[in-house]
Amino acid sequence: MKTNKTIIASAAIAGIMGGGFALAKVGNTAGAQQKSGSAFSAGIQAEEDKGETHDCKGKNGCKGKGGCKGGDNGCAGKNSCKGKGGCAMKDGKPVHKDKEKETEKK
Amino acid sequence: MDMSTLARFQAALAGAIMRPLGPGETMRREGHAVAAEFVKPNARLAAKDRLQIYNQQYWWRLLGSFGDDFGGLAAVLGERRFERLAIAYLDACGSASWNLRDLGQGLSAFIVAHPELLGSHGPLARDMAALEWARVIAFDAAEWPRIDPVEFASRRPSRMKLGLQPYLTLLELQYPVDRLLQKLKQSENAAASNARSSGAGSRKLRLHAKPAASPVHLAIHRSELVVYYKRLQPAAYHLLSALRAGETLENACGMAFGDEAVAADQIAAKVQQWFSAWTAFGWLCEKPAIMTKKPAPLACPLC
Repeated sequence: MKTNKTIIASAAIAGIMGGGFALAKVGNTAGAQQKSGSAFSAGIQAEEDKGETHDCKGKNGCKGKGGCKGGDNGCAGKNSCKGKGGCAMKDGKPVHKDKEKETEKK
Repeated sequence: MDMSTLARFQAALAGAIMRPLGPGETMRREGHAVAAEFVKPNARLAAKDRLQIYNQQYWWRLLGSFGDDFGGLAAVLGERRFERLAIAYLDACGSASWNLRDLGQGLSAFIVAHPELLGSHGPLARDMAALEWARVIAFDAAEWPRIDPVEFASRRPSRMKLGLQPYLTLLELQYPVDRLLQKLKQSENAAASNARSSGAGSRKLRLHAKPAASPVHLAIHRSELVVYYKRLQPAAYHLLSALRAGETLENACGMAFGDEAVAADQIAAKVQQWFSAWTAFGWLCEKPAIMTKKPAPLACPLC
């Protein structure tokens, strides 16, 4: 039996509407709280716990890990780095230059 | 100093500093002439030794960063082979961005072009490298505005197109590398805990695996600042891939299920649940008008 892509697309739209409702009600955490294997499970966590600090201050360890704890741009715990190309940036320019220079001198 | 002299000075120093280290992790001989020409000795250090400090810190920093990002690949290849790969890759592709986050962006293409660096671990190593790069992307790639479900539903179905978030990577893999990385992380945590209690170090875990019985389909994404590896059913993977390729919702649904001999209503129930979850995760988005032009990749010209 051939599937009907229009019926399936309609189901997809219904799902989007339902997902939007879930999002409005519970925010973005819906996925992570569901049991593993269900459609709503976010999956396996890449790091053991959310509390991992990614403390990159002075190490340029921001690379892909964000969370510049204690940084001037205050992205620790806010993931404000995301979409901006790393947390060592402010107004399009790298920050912590002095701290990095200090580290390099050591 | 005029501009051409300054440019020559900068190029010579950069060349010496960014060149891989030689035997004994010292500066290669090619750097000695640059040091003699541009660097003054002091009471404690010869010119080449002063320049060597910069050469070493540059390389050790790159190698350290690369090792942090590809710990799973190191556990697949073993320390020596991984180090050889890291040096070959960094020598060929270097660091092409101000941001060390981008250091591994050319690795997947590089190891496809240089299978000899992977020994007998090729397929597993390629899967692991792809997953670890996807993890970097998931952590801090951009998030575009999520779709407005009500506005979206008002469009004509044959014209409905959905974007996927830039931080979301879809992978079809031969090996269960998501589980392997989880095992590695658990082993590292246990080793760190033991080292704290006993004060002793421990051997690093080597990762081995047989190919999975069927392809592993993964979505690597983030939710609430946490990165996840989510397994997908094959049809869900193909549906998302078709959407990412720019197909309309209707066509993507048709492509994902093809001639599958299952009643449409059974499939519809499953698809409704998937889209509901993907919307809740925030994966579905509109590509901002400003982002319609693809930025030029920072890829290595050699690989």
